[in-house]
Amino acid sequence: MSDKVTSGELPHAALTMMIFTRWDKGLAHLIAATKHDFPDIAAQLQPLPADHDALRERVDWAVEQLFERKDRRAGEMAMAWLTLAADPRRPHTFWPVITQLAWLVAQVDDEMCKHFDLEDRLSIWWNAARGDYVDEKLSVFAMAEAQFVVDEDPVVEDDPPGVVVMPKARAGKLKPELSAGGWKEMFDAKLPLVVAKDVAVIRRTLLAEYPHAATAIDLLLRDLREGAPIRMKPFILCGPPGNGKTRLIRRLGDLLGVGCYRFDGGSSSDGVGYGGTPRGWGDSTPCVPARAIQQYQQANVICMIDELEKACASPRNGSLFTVLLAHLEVETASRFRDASLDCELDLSHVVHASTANSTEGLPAPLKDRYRLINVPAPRLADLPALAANVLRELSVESGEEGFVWPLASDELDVIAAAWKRAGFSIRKLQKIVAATLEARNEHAMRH
Amino acid sequence: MTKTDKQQQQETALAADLASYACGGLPLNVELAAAPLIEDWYVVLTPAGDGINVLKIRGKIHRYGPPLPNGQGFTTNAVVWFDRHRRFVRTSGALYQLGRQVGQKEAV
Repeated sequence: MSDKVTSGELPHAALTMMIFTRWDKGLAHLIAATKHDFPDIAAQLQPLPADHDALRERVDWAVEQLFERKDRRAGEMAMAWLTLAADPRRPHTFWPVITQLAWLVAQVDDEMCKHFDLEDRLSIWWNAARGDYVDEKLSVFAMAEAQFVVDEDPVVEDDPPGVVVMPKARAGKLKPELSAGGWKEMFDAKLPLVVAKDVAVIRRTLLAEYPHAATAIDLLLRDLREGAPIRMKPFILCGPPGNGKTRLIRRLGDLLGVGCYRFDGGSSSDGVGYGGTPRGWGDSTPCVPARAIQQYQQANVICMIDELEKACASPRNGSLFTVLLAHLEVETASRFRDASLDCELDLSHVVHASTANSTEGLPAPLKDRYRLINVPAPRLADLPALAANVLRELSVESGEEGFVWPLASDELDVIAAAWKRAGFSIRKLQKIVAATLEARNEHAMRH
Repeated sequence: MTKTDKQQQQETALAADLASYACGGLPLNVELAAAPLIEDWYVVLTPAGDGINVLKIRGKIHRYGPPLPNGQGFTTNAVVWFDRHRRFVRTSGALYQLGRQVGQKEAV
Protein backbone atom coordinates (compact mmCIF):
# COMPACT_ATOMS: atom_id res chain seq x y z
CA MET A 1 0.00 0.00 0.00
CA SER A 2 1.38 3.38 -0.89
CA ASP A 3 2.52 5.95 1.63
CA LYS A 4 -0.17 8.29 0.41
CA VAL A 5 -2.90 5.84 1.33
CA THR A 6 -1.28 4.96 4.59
CA SER A 7 -1.16 8.65 5.40
CA GLY A 8 -4.91 8.88 4.96
CA GLU A 9 -4.39 12.53 4.03
CA LEU A 10 -5.83 13.88 0.83
CA PRO A 11 -3.11 15.73 -1.04
CA HIS A 12 -5.11 18.88 -1.82
CA ALA A 13 -7.50 21.10 0.14
CA ALA A 14 -10.04 20.98 -2.73
CA LEU A 15 -10.09 17.17 -2.55
CA THR A 16 -10.66 17.37 1.20
CA MET A 17 -13.69 19.54 0.45
CA MET A 18 -15.12 16.75 -1.70
CA ILE A 19 -15.61 14.49 1.29
CA PHE A 20 -17.71 16.96 3.24
CA THR A 21 -21.32 15.90 3.49
CA ARG A 22 -22.85 19.36 3.56
CA TRP A 23 -22.10 22.80 2.14
CA ASP A 24 -22.20 24.51 5.53
CA LYS A 25 -19.82 21.96 7.02
CA GLY A 26 -17.39 22.66 4.21
CA LEU A 27 -17.80 26.38 4.81
CA ALA A 28 -17.09 26.02 8.53
CA HIS A 29 -14.00 23.96 7.78
CA LEU A 30 -12.69 26.48 5.27
CA ILE A 31 -13.28 29.43 7.55
CA ALA A 32 -11.29 27.68 10.28
CA ALA A 33 -8.50 26.77 7.84
CA THR A 34 -8.40 30.28 6.38
CA LYS A 35 -8.35 31.78 9.86
CA HIS A 36 -5.34 29.64 10.57
CA ASP A 37 -3.33 30.38 7.43
CA PHE A 38 -4.71 33.74 6.28
CA PRO A 39 -6.18 35.45 9.35
CA ASP A 40 -6.46 38.83 7.60
CA ILE A 41 -8.73 37.37 4.90
CA ALA A 42 -10.72 35.35 7.43
CA ALA A 43 -11.27 38.48 9.53
CA GLN A 44 -12.88 40.22 6.56
CA LEU A 45 -15.12 37.25 5.86
CA GLN A 46 -16.91 37.59 9.15
CA PRO A 47 -19.57 38.11 10.29
CA LEU A 48 -21.07 35.87 7.65
CA PRO A 49 -24.29 37.18 6.11
CA ALA A 50 -27.44 35.13 6.64
CA ASP A 51 -28.62 35.77 3.10
CA HIS A 52 -27.66 32.92 0.80
CA ASP A 53 -26.73 35.04 -2.21
CA ALA A 54 -24.67 37.38 -0.06
CA LEU A 55 -22.93 34.36 1.40
CA ARG A 56 -22.02 33.11 -2.07
CA GLU A 57 -20.69 36.55 -2.94
CA ARG A 58 -18.48 36.32 0.13
CA VAL A 59 -17.24 32.93 -1.13
CA ASP A 60 -16.38 34.47 -4.52
CA TRP A 61 -14.57 37.28 -2.74
CA ALA A 62 -12.48 34.77 -0.75
CA VAL A 63 -11.53 32.96 -3.98
CA GLU A 64 -10.29 36.19 -5.57
CA GLN A 65 -8.42 37.37 -2.49
CA LEU A 66 -6.63 34.06 -2.11
CA PHE A 67 -5.68 33.76 -5.79
CA GLU A 68 -4.35 37.33 -5.56
CA ARG A 69 -1.74 36.15 -3.07
CA LYS A 70 -0.05 34.23 -5.88
CA ASP A 71 1.40 31.49 -3.75
CA ARG A 72 0.85 27.77 -3.65
CA ARG A 73 -0.92 27.45 -0.28
CA ALA A 74 -3.20 30.42 -1.00
CA GLY A 75 -3.98 29.00 -4.45
CA GLU A 76 -4.84 25.64 -2.91
CA MET A 77 -7.17 27.33 -0.44
CA ALA A 78 -8.70 29.37 -3.27
CA MET A 79 -9.47 26.15 -5.14
CA ALA A 80 -11.06 24.75 -2.00
CA TRP A 81 -13.24 27.88 -1.69
CA LEU A 82 -14.12 27.56 -5.37
CA THR A 83 -15.83 24.23 -4.60
CA LEU A 84 -18.29 26.18 -2.43
CA ALA A 85 -19.06 28.48 -5.34
CA ALA A 86 -20.43 25.56 -7.35
CA ASP A 87 -24.23 25.69 -7.28
CA PRO A 88 -26.22 22.81 -8.86
CA ARG A 89 -28.92 25.29 -9.88
CA ARG A 90 -26.33 27.13 -11.99
CA PRO A 91 -24.35 24.41 -13.82
CA HIS A 92 -21.88 26.90 -15.32
CA THR A 93 -20.52 27.52 -11.80
CA PHE A 94 -19.08 24.00 -12.01
CA TRP A 95 -16.97 24.61 -15.12
CA PRO A 96 -13.92 26.11 -13.39
CA VAL A 97 -14.20 23.58 -10.55
CA ILE A 98 -14.91 20.30 -12.24
CA THR A 99 -11.92 20.31 -14.60
CA GLN A 100 -9.52 21.00 -11.76
CA LEU A 101 -11.17 18.47 -9.44
CA ALA A 102 -11.07 15.83 -12.17
CA TRP A 103 -7.39 16.56 -12.71
CA LEU A 104 -6.67 16.40 -8.97
CA VAL A 105 -8.61 13.14 -8.57
CA ALA A 106 -6.68 11.67 -11.51
CA GLN A 107 -3.44 12.39 -9.66
CA VAL A 108 -4.57 10.43 -6.59
CA ASP A 109 -3.73 6.75 -6.55
CA ASP A 110 -6.46 4.14 -6.87
CA GLU A 111 -6.44 3.02 -3.28
CA MET A 112 -6.88 6.49 -1.89
CA CYS A 113 -9.59 7.18 -4.46
CA LYS A 114 -11.45 4.10 -3.31
CA HIS A 115 -10.84 4.89 0.32
CA PHE A 116 -12.51 8.29 0.04
CA ASP A 117 -15.02 7.30 -2.72
CA LEU A 118 -13.57 10.15 -4.76
CA GLU A 119 -14.62 8.89 -8.17
CA ASP A 120 -18.18 8.22 -7.06
CA ARG A 121 -18.37 11.67 -5.55
CA LEU A 122 -16.83 13.23 -8.64
CA SER A 123 -19.46 11.61 -10.86
CA ILE A 124 -22.14 13.57 -8.95
CA TRP A 125 -20.16 16.77 -9.55
CA TRP A 126 -20.10 15.94 -13.27
CA ASN A 127 -23.86 15.37 -13.25
CA ALA A 128 -24.33 18.74 -11.59
CA ALA A 129 -22.10 20.38 -14.20
CA ARG A 130 -24.29 18.80 -16.88
CA GLY A 131 -27.35 20.41 -15.32
CA ASP A 132 -28.94 17.25 -13.92
CA TYR A 133 -29.78 18.94 -10.61
CA VAL A 134 -31.01 22.40 -11.62
CA ASP A 135 -34.25 21.84 -9.70
CA GLU A 136 -32.57 20.40 -6.61
CA LYS A 137 -32.40 22.35 -3.39
CA LEU A 138 -29.54 20.29 -1.98
CA SER A 139 -25.89 21.22 -2.40
CA VAL A 140 -23.61 19.04 -4.48
CA PHE A 141 -21.90 17.95 -1.25
CA ALA A 142 -25.16 16.58 0.16
CA MET A 143 -26.02 14.91 -3.13
CA ALA A 144 -22.61 13.29 -3.41
CA GLU A 145 -23.06 11.94 0.12
CA ALA A 146 -26.64 10.82 -0.47
CA GLN A 147 -25.49 8.08 -2.82
CA PHE A 148 -23.80 6.32 0.11
CA VAL A 149 -26.70 6.55 2.53
CA VAL A 150 -28.60 3.33 2.96
CA ASP A 151 -32.12 3.56 4.31
CA GLU A 152 -32.57 1.54 7.44
CA ASP A 153 -35.71 0.12 8.95
CA PRO A 154 -37.53 2.75 10.98
CA VAL A 155 -36.62 2.67 14.64
CA VAL A 156 -39.40 2.79 17.21
CA GLU A 157 -38.55 5.92 19.14
CA ASP A 158 -39.90 4.81 22.51
CA ASP A 159 -37.76 1.71 22.46
CA PRO A 160 -34.18 2.70 23.34
CA PRO A 161 -31.74 0.91 21.05
CA GLY A 162 -30.10 -2.13 22.54
CA VAL A 163 -28.90 -5.60 21.71
CA VAL A 164 -28.56 -8.96 23.41
CA VAL A 165 -24.85 -9.67 23.26
CA MET A 166 -24.91 -13.01 25.05
CA PRO A 167 -28.03 -15.08 24.22
CA LYS A 168 -28.45 -17.99 26.62
CA ALA A 169 -29.88 -20.16 23.86
CA ARG A 170 -26.49 -20.16 22.17
CA ALA A 171 -24.39 -20.77 25.25
CA GLY A 172 -22.95 -23.75 27.05
CA LYS A 173 -22.53 -23.94 30.81
CA LEU A 174 -20.46 -21.15 32.34
CA LYS A 175 -17.40 -22.03 34.37
CA PRO A 176 -17.99 -21.19 38.07
CA GLU A 177 -15.36 -18.44 38.22
CA LEU A 178 -16.91 -16.71 35.18
CA SER A 179 -20.39 -17.13 36.58
CA ALA A 180 -19.25 -15.47 39.78
CA GLY A 181 -17.46 -12.77 37.82
CA GLY A 182 -20.64 -11.14 36.54
CA TRP A 183 -20.94 -13.03 33.25
CA LYS A 184 -24.05 -14.91 34.34
CA GLU A 185 -25.99 -11.61 34.45
CA MET A 186 -25.06 -10.98 30.84
CA PHE A 187 -27.25 -13.88 29.61
CA ASP A 188 -30.15 -12.50 27.55
CA ALA A 189 -29.54 -9.01 28.95
CA LYS A 190 -30.41 -6.31 26.43
CA LEU A 191 -27.42 -3.97 26.63
CA PRO A 192 -27.88 -0.36 25.52
CA LEU A 193 -26.45 0.99 22.31
CA VAL A 194 -25.15 4.51 22.93
CA VAL A 195 -26.48 6.94 20.33
CA ALA A 196 -24.60 9.86 18.81
CA LYS A 197 -25.56 13.20 20.32
CA ASP A 198 -24.25 16.68 19.55
CA VAL A 199 -21.78 15.45 16.97
CA ALA A 200 -21.15 19.04 15.82
CA VAL A 201 -20.20 20.08 19.35
CA ILE A 202 -17.94 17.05 19.71
CA ARG A 203 -16.27 17.93 16.42
CA ARG A 204 -15.65 21.52 17.49
CA THR A 205 -14.24 20.35 20.83
CA LEU A 206 -11.88 17.87 19.21
CA LEU A 207 -10.75 20.37 16.56
CA ALA A 208 -9.96 22.89 19.28
CA GLU A 209 -8.01 20.35 21.30
CA TYR A 210 -6.26 18.58 18.41
CA PRO A 211 -5.93 21.21 15.69
CA HIS A 212 -3.24 19.22 13.89
CA ALA A 213 -5.60 16.25 13.45
CA ALA A 214 -8.46 18.09 11.70
CA THR A 215 -8.69 15.71 8.74
CA ALA A 216 -8.53 12.66 11.02
CA ILE A 217 -11.30 14.03 13.23
CA ASP A 218 -13.60 14.62 10.27
CA LEU A 219 -12.94 11.14 8.95
CA LEU A 220 -13.63 9.60 12.36
CA LEU A 221 -16.91 11.44 12.79
CA ARG A 222 -18.24 10.95 9.28
CA ASP A 223 -19.74 7.53 10.16
CA LEU A 224 -21.90 9.03 12.89
CA ARG A 225 -25.51 10.07 12.44
CA GLU A 226 -27.17 12.27 15.02
CA GLY A 227 -29.56 10.20 17.14
CA ALA A 228 -28.45 6.86 15.63
CA PRO A 229 -26.45 4.23 17.56
CA ILE A 230 -22.73 4.89 17.38
CA ARG A 231 -21.14 2.62 14.83
CA MET A 232 -17.79 3.23 13.21
CA LYS A 233 -15.70 1.36 10.70
CA PRO A 234 -12.55 -0.13 12.25
CA PHE A 235 -9.77 2.44 12.01
CA ILE A 236 -6.07 2.83 12.65
CA LEU A 237 -4.65 6.22 13.54
CA CYS A 238 -1.18 6.28 12.01
CA GLY A 239 1.48 8.81 12.76
CA PRO A 240 4.76 9.57 14.49
CA PRO A 241 5.16 8.67 18.19
CA GLY A 242 3.84 11.13 20.72
CA ASN A 243 1.49 13.05 18.45
CA GLY A 244 -1.62 12.39 20.53
CA LYS A 245 -3.20 9.42 18.69
CA THR A 246 -4.05 7.47 21.84
CA ARG A 247 -5.32 10.54 23.65
CA LEU A 248 -7.47 11.46 20.67
CA ILE A 249 -9.19 8.04 20.72
CA ARG A 250 -9.70 8.19 24.48
CA ARG A 251 -11.11 11.70 24.20
CA LEU A 252 -13.39 10.59 21.38
CA GLY A 253 -14.68 7.76 23.58
CA ASP A 254 -15.28 10.16 26.47
CA LEU A 255 -17.08 12.75 24.35
CA LEU A 256 -19.26 10.16 22.61
CA GLY A 257 -20.03 8.56 25.96
CA VAL A 258 -19.06 5.07 24.80
CA GLY A 259 -15.83 4.74 26.77
CA CYS A 260 -12.59 3.23 25.61
CA TYR A 261 -11.08 -0.14 26.60
CA ARG A 262 -7.32 -0.17 25.97
CA PHE A 263 -5.26 -3.18 24.96
CA ASP A 264 -1.50 -2.88 24.56
CA GLY A 265 -0.48 -4.26 21.17
CA GLY A 266 3.20 -4.10 22.13
CA SER A 267 2.77 -6.58 24.95
CA SER A 268 0.88 -9.08 22.83
CA SER A 269 3.15 -11.97 21.96
CA ASP A 270 0.28 -14.09 20.64
CA GLY A 271 -3.46 -13.94 20.01
CA VAL A 272 -4.38 -15.36 23.39
CA GLY A 273 -4.45 -12.00 25.17
CA TYR A 274 -6.93 -10.41 22.80
CA GLY A 275 -8.80 -13.49 21.71
CA GLY A 276 -9.19 -14.82 25.25
CA THR A 277 -8.05 -18.15 26.63
CA PRO A 278 -9.69 -21.52 25.94
CA ARG A 279 -12.16 -23.00 28.37
CA GLY A 280 -9.84 -25.89 29.14
CA TRP A 281 -7.28 -23.60 30.76
CA GLY A 282 -7.33 -23.31 34.52
CA ASP A 283 -7.94 -19.58 34.49
CA SER A 284 -9.72 -18.89 31.22
CA THR A 285 -10.53 -15.33 30.11
CA PRO A 286 -13.04 -14.10 27.51
CA CYS A 287 -11.87 -12.09 24.53
CA VAL A 288 -11.10 -8.39 24.89
CA PRO A 289 -14.24 -7.05 23.11
CA ALA A 290 -16.44 -9.19 25.40
CA ARG A 291 -14.54 -7.95 28.45
CA ALA A 292 -14.96 -4.36 27.26
CA ILE A 293 -18.71 -4.82 26.81
CA GLN A 294 -19.04 -6.41 30.21
CA GLN A 295 -17.04 -3.67 31.90
CA TYR A 296 -18.98 -0.80 30.29
CA GLN A 297 -22.34 -2.63 30.19
CA GLN A 298 -23.07 -1.40 26.70
CA ALA A 299 -22.82 -3.07 23.30
CA ASN A 300 -20.92 -0.32 21.47
CA VAL A 301 -17.69 0.42 23.26
CA ILE A 302 -14.36 1.44 21.74
CA CYS A 303 -11.76 -1.34 21.89
CA MET A 304 -8.44 0.35 21.32
CA ILE A 305 -5.25 -1.54 20.51
CA ASP A 306 -2.32 0.72 21.23
CA GLU A 307 0.74 0.34 18.99
CA LEU A 308 -0.78 -2.39 16.87
CA GLU A 309 2.30 -2.71 14.68
CA LYS A 310 4.40 -3.74 17.68
CA ALA A 311 2.39 -6.94 18.24
CA CYS A 312 4.28 -10.13 17.49
CA ALA A 313 3.27 -11.51 14.09
CA SER A 314 4.35 -15.09 14.88
CA PRO A 315 1.48 -17.51 14.21
CA ARG A 316 2.33 -19.56 17.35
CA ASN A 317 -0.79 -19.68 19.56
CA GLY A 318 -2.51 -17.52 16.94
CA SER A 319 -1.15 -14.04 16.37
CA LEU A 320 -3.08 -10.93 17.37
CA PHE A 321 -3.42 -10.12 13.67
CA THR A 322 -5.18 -13.41 12.91
CA VAL A 323 -7.44 -13.15 15.92
CA LEU A 324 -8.43 -9.61 14.97
CA LEU A 325 -9.68 -10.60 11.52
CA ALA A 326 -12.73 -12.34 12.98
CA HIS A 327 -13.60 -9.27 15.03
CA LEU A 328 -13.29 -6.72 12.23
CA GLU A 329 -15.94 -8.19 9.94
CA VAL A 330 -19.47 -7.34 11.09
CA GLU A 331 -20.79 -10.66 9.84
CA THR A 332 -18.36 -12.84 11.81
CA ALA A 333 -18.34 -10.52 14.82
CA SER A 334 -22.12 -10.81 15.12
CA ARG A 335 -21.77 -14.57 15.68
CA PHE A 336 -18.44 -14.81 17.47
CA ARG A 337 -18.06 -17.96 19.53
CA ASP A 338 -16.00 -17.09 22.57
CA ALA A 339 -13.88 -20.07 23.60
CA SER A 340 -13.87 -19.14 27.27
CA LEU A 341 -17.58 -18.35 27.68
CA ASP A 342 -18.58 -21.11 25.27
CA CYS A 343 -21.22 -18.78 23.89
CA GLU A 344 -22.01 -17.22 20.53
CA LEU A 345 -21.69 -13.48 21.13
CA ASP A 346 -22.92 -10.52 19.11
CA LEU A 347 -19.85 -8.27 19.13
CA SER A 348 -20.75 -6.50 15.90
CA HIS A 349 -21.32 -3.10 17.53
CA VAL A 350 -17.86 -2.84 19.06
CA VAL A 351 -15.79 0.02 17.63
CA HIS A 352 -12.33 -1.27 16.76
CA ALA A 353 -9.69 1.42 17.02
CA SER A 354 -5.93 1.10 16.85
CA THR A 355 -2.89 3.29 16.86
CA ALA A 356 0.30 2.64 14.93
CA ASN A 357 3.47 4.52 14.14
CA SER A 358 3.55 2.75 10.80
CA THR A 359 1.37 0.22 9.03
CA GLU A 360 4.20 -1.18 6.93
CA GLY A 361 4.51 -4.50 8.79
CA LEU A 362 0.80 -5.18 9.05
CA PRO A 363 -0.59 -7.99 6.90
CA ALA A 364 -2.59 -6.85 3.86
CA PRO A 365 -5.86 -8.60 4.91
CA LEU A 366 -5.75 -6.65 8.16
CA LYS A 367 -5.06 -3.32 6.45
CA ASP A 368 -7.93 -3.94 4.05
CA ARG A 369 -10.33 -4.20 6.97
CA TYR A 370 -9.20 -1.00 8.66
CA ARG A 371 -9.64 2.58 7.60
CA LEU A 372 -6.12 4.00 7.75
CA ILE A 373 -6.15 7.57 8.99
CA ASN A 374 -3.05 9.70 9.29
CA VAL A 375 -2.50 11.96 12.24
CA PRO A 376 0.35 14.26 11.26
CA ALA A 377 2.82 15.67 13.75
CA PRO A 378 1.59 18.91 15.27
CA ARG A 379 2.96 22.15 13.86
CA LEU A 380 4.36 25.09 15.71
CA ALA A 381 1.16 26.98 14.91
CA ASP A 382 -0.78 24.39 16.96
CA LEU A 383 1.27 25.10 20.08
CA PRO A 384 -1.01 27.65 21.80
CA ALA A 385 -4.03 25.30 21.63
CA LEU A 386 -2.06 22.19 22.57
CA ALA A 387 -0.17 23.91 25.39
CA ALA A 388 -3.46 25.23 26.77
CA ASN A 389 -4.83 21.66 26.79
CA VAL A 390 -1.77 20.33 28.56
CA LEU A 391 -1.95 23.17 31.08
CA ARG A 392 -5.59 22.38 31.78
CA GLU A 393 -4.84 18.67 32.24
CA LEU A 394 -1.94 19.40 34.56
CA SER A 395 -4.05 21.76 36.63
CA VAL A 396 -6.78 19.11 36.93
CA GLU A 397 -4.22 16.48 37.95
CA SER A 398 -2.75 18.76 40.60
CA GLY A 399 -6.19 19.72 41.91
CA GLU A 400 -5.61 23.37 40.96
CA GLU A 401 -8.13 23.59 38.15
CA GLY A 402 -8.95 27.22 37.49
CA PHE A 403 -6.07 28.44 39.65
CA VAL A 404 -3.27 28.23 37.08
CA TRP A 405 -2.54 31.36 35.08
CA PRO A 406 -2.54 30.93 31.31
CA LEU A 407 0.87 30.73 29.68
CA ALA A 408 2.38 34.13 28.96
CA SER A 409 3.75 34.90 25.51
CA ASP A 410 7.38 34.78 26.71
CA GLU A 411 6.70 31.39 28.31
CA LEU A 412 5.16 30.19 25.06
CA ASP A 413 8.26 31.36 23.18
CA VAL A 414 10.49 29.32 25.47
CA ILE A 415 8.16 26.31 25.21
CA ALA A 416 8.09 26.65 21.42
CA ALA A 417 11.88 26.55 21.17
CA ALA A 418 12.12 23.51 23.45
CA TRP A 419 9.23 21.75 21.70
CA LYS A 420 10.80 22.28 18.31
CA ARG A 421 14.00 20.65 19.57
CA ALA A 422 11.90 17.75 20.93
CA GLY A 423 10.40 17.08 17.51
CA PHE A 424 6.85 18.38 18.17
CA SER A 425 5.86 15.45 20.37
CA ILE A 426 2.79 16.04 22.57
CA ARG A 427 4.25 13.66 25.13
CA LYS A 428 7.34 15.86 25.31
CA LEU A 429 5.16 18.97 25.40
CA GLN A 430 3.62 17.75 28.66
CA LYS A 431 7.06 17.59 30.25
CA ILE A 432 8.05 20.97 28.85
CA VAL A 433 4.87 22.67 30.11
CA ALA A 434 5.27 20.96 33.50
CA ALA A 435 8.87 22.19 33.70
CA THR A 436 7.72 25.69 32.74
CA LEU A 437 5.15 25.68 35.54
CA GLU A 438 7.78 24.46 37.96
CA ALA A 439 10.13 27.24 36.88
CA ARG A 440 7.30 29.73 37.27
CA ASN A 441 6.61 28.52 40.81
CA GLU A 442 10.27 28.64 41.77
CA HIS A 443 10.52 32.12 40.37
CA ALA A 444 7.46 33.18 42.36
CA MET A 445 8.92 31.75 45.57
CA ARG A 446 12.20 33.61 45.18
CA HIS A 447 10.46 36.95 44.93
CA MET B 1 12.65 15.57 -32.38
CA THR B 2 10.90 12.26 -31.66
CA LYS B 3 7.25 12.07 -30.71
CA THR B 4 8.19 10.95 -27.22
CA ASP B 5 10.30 14.05 -26.74
CA LYS B 6 7.43 16.21 -27.92
CA GLN B 7 5.04 14.50 -25.52
CA GLN B 8 7.52 14.91 -22.72
CA GLN B 9 7.86 18.59 -23.54
CA GLN B 10 4.06 18.99 -23.57
CA GLU B 11 3.72 17.30 -20.23
CA THR B 12 6.40 19.48 -18.69
CA ALA B 13 4.80 22.62 -20.08
CA LEU B 14 1.37 21.50 -18.85
CA ALA B 15 2.64 20.79 -15.36
CA ALA B 16 4.34 24.20 -15.23
CA ASP B 17 1.24 26.00 -16.48
CA LEU B 18 -1.08 24.20 -14.07
CA ALA B 19 1.25 24.91 -11.18
CA SER B 20 1.21 28.56 -12.13
CA TYR B 21 -2.59 28.78 -12.55
CA ALA B 22 -3.06 26.96 -9.25
CA CYS B 23 -1.10 29.76 -7.56
CA GLY B 24 -3.32 32.40 -9.16
CA GLY B 25 -1.04 32.94 -12.15
CA LEU B 26 -2.34 33.71 -15.63
CA PRO B 27 -0.95 33.15 -19.10
CA LEU B 28 1.18 36.05 -20.32
CA ASN B 29 -0.57 38.51 -22.60
CA VAL B 30 1.78 37.54 -25.42
CA GLU B 31 0.90 33.88 -24.90
CA LEU B 32 -2.80 34.62 -25.02
CA ALA B 33 -2.42 36.86 -28.05
CA ALA B 34 -0.61 34.06 -29.88
CA ALA B 35 -3.03 31.33 -28.74
CA PRO B 36 -5.92 30.20 -30.95
CA LEU B 37 -9.08 32.14 -30.17
CA ILE B 38 -12.47 30.44 -29.89
CA GLU B 39 -15.47 32.63 -30.64
CA ASP B 40 -19.14 31.77 -30.11
CA TRP B 41 -18.05 29.02 -27.81
CA TYR B 42 -20.03 26.76 -25.56
CA VAL B 43 -19.24 23.96 -23.16
CA VAL B 44 -19.69 20.31 -24.10
CA LEU B 45 -19.60 17.62 -21.46
CA THR B 46 -19.03 14.15 -22.81
CA PRO B 47 -18.68 10.77 -21.13
CA ALA B 48 -15.30 9.21 -21.77
CA GLY B 49 -16.04 5.72 -20.45
CA ASP B 50 -15.69 4.16 -16.97
CA GLY B 51 -17.72 6.96 -15.43
CA ILE B 52 -15.12 9.51 -16.54
CA ASN B 53 -16.40 12.69 -18.14
CA VAL B 54 -14.54 15.40 -19.97
CA LEU B 55 -15.30 19.05 -20.54
CA LYS B 56 -14.56 20.43 -24.01
CA ILE B 57 -15.07 23.78 -25.68
CA ARG B 58 -16.80 23.93 -29.01
CA GLY B 59 -16.99 27.05 -31.19
CA LYS B 60 -15.43 28.87 -34.13
CA ILE B 61 -11.66 28.81 -34.20
CA HIS B 62 -9.49 31.78 -35.11
CA ARG B 63 -5.71 32.22 -35.30
CA TYR B 64 -5.19 28.47 -35.51
CA GLY B 65 -3.34 28.68 -38.80
CA PRO B 66 -3.37 26.10 -41.60
CA PRO B 67 -5.16 23.86 -42.18
CA LEU B 68 -8.00 25.50 -40.24
CA PRO B 69 -9.37 28.72 -41.71
CA ASN B 70 -10.72 31.38 -39.38
CA GLY B 71 -14.33 30.73 -38.42
CA GLN B 72 -14.04 26.95 -38.84
CA GLY B 73 -16.11 24.88 -36.39
CA PHE B 74 -13.81 23.37 -33.79
CA THR B 75 -13.86 21.27 -30.61
CA THR B 76 -10.96 21.24 -28.19
CA ASN B 77 -9.56 18.20 -26.44
CA ALA B 78 -10.46 17.69 -22.77
CA VAL B 79 -9.99 20.90 -20.82
CA VAL B 80 -7.76 20.54 -17.78
CA TRP B 81 -8.01 24.15 -16.59
CA PHE B 82 -11.02 26.38 -17.14
CA ASP B 83 -10.37 29.98 -16.15
CA ARG B 84 -13.03 31.09 -13.68
CA HIS B 85 -13.35 34.42 -15.52
CA ARG B 86 -13.72 32.60 -18.86
CA ARG B 87 -10.71 34.26 -20.46
CA PHE B 88 -8.91 31.06 -21.44
CA VAL B 89 -8.85 27.28 -21.20
CA ARG B 90 -5.91 24.92 -21.15
CA THR B 91 -6.00 21.41 -22.59
CA SER B 92 -3.15 18.96 -22.19
CA GLY B 93 -1.63 20.18 -25.45
CA ALA B 94 -2.66 23.77 -25.96
CA LEU B 95 -3.84 27.09 -24.59
CA TYR B 96 -6.96 28.71 -26.08
CA GLN B 97 -8.22 32.21 -25.63
CA LEU B 98 -11.98 32.39 -25.14
CA GLY B 99 -13.87 35.08 -26.98
CA ARG B 100 -17.58 35.69 -27.02
CA GLN B 101 -19.71 32.95 -25.53
CA VAL B 102 -22.59 31.82 -27.69
CA GLY B 103 -26.09 32.48 -26.33
CA GLN B 104 -24.55 33.47 -23.05
CA LYS B 105 -27.83 33.91 -21.25
CA GLU B 106 -29.19 30.57 -22.45
CA ALA B 107 -25.98 28.82 -21.41
CA VAL B 108 -26.20 30.37 -17.98
